[in-house]
Amino acid sequence: MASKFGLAGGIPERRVRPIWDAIDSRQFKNALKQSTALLAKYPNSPYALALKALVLERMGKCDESLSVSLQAKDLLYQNDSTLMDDLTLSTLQIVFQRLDRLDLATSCYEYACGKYHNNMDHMMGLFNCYVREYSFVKQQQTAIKMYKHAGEERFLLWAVCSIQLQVLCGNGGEKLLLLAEGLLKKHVASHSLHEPEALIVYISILEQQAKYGDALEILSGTLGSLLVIEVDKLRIQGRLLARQGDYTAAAQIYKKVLELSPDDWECFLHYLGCLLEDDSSWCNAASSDPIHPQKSVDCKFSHLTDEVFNSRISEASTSVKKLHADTSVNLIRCPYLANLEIERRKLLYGKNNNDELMEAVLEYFLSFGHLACFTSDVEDFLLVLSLDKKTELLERLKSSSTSHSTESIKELGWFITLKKIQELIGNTYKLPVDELERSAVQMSEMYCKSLPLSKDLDPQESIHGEELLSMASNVLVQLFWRTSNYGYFMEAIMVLEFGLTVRRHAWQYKVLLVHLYSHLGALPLAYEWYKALDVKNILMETVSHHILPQMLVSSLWVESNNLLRDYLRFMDDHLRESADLTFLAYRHRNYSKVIEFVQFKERLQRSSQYLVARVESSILQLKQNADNIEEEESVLENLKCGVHFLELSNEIGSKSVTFNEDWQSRPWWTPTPDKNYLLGPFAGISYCPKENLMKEREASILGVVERKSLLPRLIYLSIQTASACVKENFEVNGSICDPKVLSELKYLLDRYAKMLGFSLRDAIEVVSGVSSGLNSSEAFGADMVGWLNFAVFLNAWNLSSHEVVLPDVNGCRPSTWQVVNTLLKKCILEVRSMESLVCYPQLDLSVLVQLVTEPLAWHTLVMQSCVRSSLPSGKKKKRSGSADHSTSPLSQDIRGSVQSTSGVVEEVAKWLGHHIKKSEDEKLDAIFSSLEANGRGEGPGQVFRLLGTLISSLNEAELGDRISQAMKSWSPVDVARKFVAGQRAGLSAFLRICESKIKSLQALKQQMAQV
Amino acid sequence: MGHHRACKNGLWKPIGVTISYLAVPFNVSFRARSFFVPNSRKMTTIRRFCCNDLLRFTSVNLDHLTETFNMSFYMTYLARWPDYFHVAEGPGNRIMGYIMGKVEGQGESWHGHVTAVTVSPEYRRQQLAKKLMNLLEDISDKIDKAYFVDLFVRASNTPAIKMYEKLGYVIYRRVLRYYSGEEDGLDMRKALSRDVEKKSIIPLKRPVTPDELEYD
Repeated sequence: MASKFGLAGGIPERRVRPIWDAIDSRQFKNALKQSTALLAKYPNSPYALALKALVLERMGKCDESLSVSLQAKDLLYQNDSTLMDDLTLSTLQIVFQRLDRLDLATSCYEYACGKYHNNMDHMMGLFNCYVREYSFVKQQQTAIKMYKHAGEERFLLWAVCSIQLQVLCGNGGEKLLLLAEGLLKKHVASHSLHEPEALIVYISILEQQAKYGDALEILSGTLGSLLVIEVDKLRIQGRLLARQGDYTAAAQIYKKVLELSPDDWECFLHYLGCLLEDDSSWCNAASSDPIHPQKSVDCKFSHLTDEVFNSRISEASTSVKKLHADTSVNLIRCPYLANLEIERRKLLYGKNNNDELMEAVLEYFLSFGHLACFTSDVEDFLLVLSLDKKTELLERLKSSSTSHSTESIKELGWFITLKKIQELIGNTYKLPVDELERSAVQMSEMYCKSLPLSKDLDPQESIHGEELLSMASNVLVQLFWRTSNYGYFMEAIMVLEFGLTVRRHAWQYKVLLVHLYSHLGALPLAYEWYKALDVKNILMETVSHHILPQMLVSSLWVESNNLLRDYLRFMDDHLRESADLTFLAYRHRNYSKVIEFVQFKERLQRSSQYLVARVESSILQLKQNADNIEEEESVLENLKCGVHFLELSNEIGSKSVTFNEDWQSRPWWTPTPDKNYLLGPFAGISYCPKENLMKEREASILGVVERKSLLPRLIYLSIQTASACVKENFEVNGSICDPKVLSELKYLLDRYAKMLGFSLRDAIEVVSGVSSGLNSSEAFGADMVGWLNFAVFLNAWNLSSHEVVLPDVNGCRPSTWQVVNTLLKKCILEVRSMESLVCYPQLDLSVLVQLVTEPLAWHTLVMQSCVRSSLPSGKKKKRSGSADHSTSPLSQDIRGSVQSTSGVVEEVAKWLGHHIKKSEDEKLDAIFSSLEANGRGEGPGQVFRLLGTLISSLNEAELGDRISQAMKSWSPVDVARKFVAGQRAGLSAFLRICESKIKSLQALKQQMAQV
Repeated sequence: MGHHRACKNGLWKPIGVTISYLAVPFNVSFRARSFFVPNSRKMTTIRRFCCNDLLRFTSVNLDHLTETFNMSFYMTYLARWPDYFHVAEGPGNRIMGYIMGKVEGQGESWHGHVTAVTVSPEYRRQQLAKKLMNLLEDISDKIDKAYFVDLFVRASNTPAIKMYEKLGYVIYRRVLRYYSGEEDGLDMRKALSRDVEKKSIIPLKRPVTPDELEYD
């Protein structure tokens, strides 16, 4: 190519280099100057133009950049003598990609390939373009061309991968796999294969077509030697045999793997599965979610006769015994756990009673009970035991552990394990309150007692017994649940804050505090702790759920915005760069990663949280600008008047949405938007009800986001109809509302009502029933905000359609204006006066915030739209007839509604002001008196006081310098103060919102006075 | 040279998002301690790390010693050196820990590199990090026929340094202000079978600066 002769795109390299150097060092102004000079010298060089376009794009001048790059493209096309070199094309490609015009980049390469056949550089570039566009078919065609031209194995595999992608991620039929197989077969016959990854792809192509025998044959032939790691090869062989149904052979293979790597747990499960001819782990592999593997209790073996079952199980036992014998010196744990699995299967088959399984757990406990992972190791096995048996097991574990107290760290380990098993078993809800209290005290005592063990640890390392404080705080939360005594909540907070004083890196404590503080109305503080978790990159996808839902319904708009912005930026960046990384995998011949990357990108693209974040960030913008209709309209304009979200909402039902949240890190009791365990007892649940509720939660998240995605459009249409209705009313030749707008609004209201669970007509009845006092607001269920939104949009629609005829109440027919006024007043003041707002927890505060920032805000917009349209426009003088506007029924309605709405917001503001003004001392007193001893030595505060005693008597020599110093800095008053300040900051943010609304409503009143 | 970056291999790295290996701290969440049960091992399935594991390693990565890199960092490793990126899974499909690394260099400096190794607190003190390290060494040695394996560690991270020494690593040289221009790093090495005379691990006498490093 040109550069071989010291030319870059036909220009001497020495002229080009400084420009690239300037771009690299981000001196864009300098780069622009130089590239302009270069262009003056080479006005017809597409490369010089492309360079300038690149610089312009980097400077943020996207429009200019696009026009310059289009010039370059035109030149490239027009001029036959122009050098169409790779450098020019790739530079242009960069610019187009950055400008989000992949199509233009592709067409350049298509043109180049059309002009110069068989130029490998161009074809490679074109293939890359198709990878970026996820055009699998065209990828395939291009790769085949390259393969035909160069005959290289890798291009064939590129084509094969492209075919696989069509089947797995596109809409290609499975028949295509036959084509891929044929291509490979032909190539293998003439050239064989030379890369392990190529073999893996070949096998996967066969496996996808259920041609297990063929795959096995290839694997055991000469090609099989490509897989250097023996165990890897055996694992594939075992899987193929099992899927083929040849369980005996598969079992033998897995046995071999176990001999080579005796602690491969998954392999043991496969081995046992094959012996028992249980194909569930193979069949489910395809359908199950790789992120949240289902905990399956069931096994399939009903088809086995008693005799066969017995002999297979005894075969397994023999193998396990052999493993035991071979590895006895090494104390490998797999054989122990293998016994558990064997006993579990026997139990499920009906071969033994619970005792054998319990015995096996006990044996495992004696050897490994001190390890932190013991509980999670045995969790799945305990699932098959009844609650009584679990309780019995716990007792047996307890009594067996008393005989072990050789080493203090081990002793601590056993203690923790027993407490964890208790939590896991989930019978704590049955224990008497004083026993729970004792348990929390014991855990904290043990924590303190064990601190000297951590004396010499690096400050960053986790402390021995760190889990104890999380567990103690979980027990305290449960005590609150049982007694409704909020002192336990404060105590839980104190315990965790104490733990963080000792070691500030304990993320488990921070997560718990995030939830406790959110729940107790100190969201700003919760947010602080969340930030301390340093959640970034992919963790935002899995961890944000700890804070995001609370934030979205709060008054902390700036912080919510930050969260959403960071998250969306991460996702968008990944979705943008993922294709480049896929191409990297192609280039490095890691074909299996190509498939994986594309599938992963799709998984993230369909993430429910991504969906929620996109919808919510727009709604947040709408909330933030609702006090000013012009600003709101410009937001709406940027949102394409909500049309896009409407499409999104239509798609939600048909799309398979993914849920990538990590629920393991979430304590069982944490409230979620649809379930709050702290509000009432749920029999039998004291630990991880996560799994059972997953599906429910997922459905509810989708329902909410589907409805919310209608909001921008509903708001837009409501503003339109409100304005049209005024013109219709007041102007002689007033334009009547566009019937399309009206019918769309009606259609959306109908959909909205359906999402609330009603037909449009019934929903209208519900709102009018509540507003007239016929029904209480309980008729709205948990979704008061959703209903009020409905009422607001209903009123807007009715302004122009006049279709709604509300039922008579005491002889008069209320207008939809009145319905909205009454509902806003009623609901907002009702929620505000609830006891729970003044004491704890402050869950309802978020409902109040939502009522003010959503339905009330949207209604204010409707009124703003009306008033704006009734104002004399521009320089036009008031027409003589317009004087009676103010007395028209519509004007009166609007005036009344402005009056009523501002009255409501003023009430809320007054109430907030009152709470904010309350003295800090008073609040601190309340907190500490809730932790005081009650004379009978029971109730909240026992753990708290224990910690106090510990600090007053700490032994510096025993604890070491660092821990002693940290403990000395412990200040409960500071914690309480921070908490109170956090609550206050949340209320203040809300007050600011209210004040802004009051101001905007006052302005509206003044404007009306001018009419 | 700049424009070569745009055309080299047909792949363009977004200019603003440079993948800097240099600024990456080496993370060790594993500490060797005296109370090890000798040779006790955890039942474990070690397999290649895959993208979905990124969604499952939360509890490992929330630990503050473990860095969560950006996506292109992980995916570049997966795309280029999938054999050097392994994850250990325990019962209940829990992620116990993982190791990521690469192989690079020319001639006698062809070597395996450990970029990060981390073990979840729940599974620490069970020699899992050792097992993961051994795997990477094996692959460097047997599959890629490298001369040595190296890694960088904060000079202050005594427990980790001790652990690596136990695993046969020696301090090859000190890299001044390697970590965010502040803390020194230690370049530790372990010779593999191909380096018969163990030339690769003869310690350098003087410390080097980050820009003197051959590979970042």
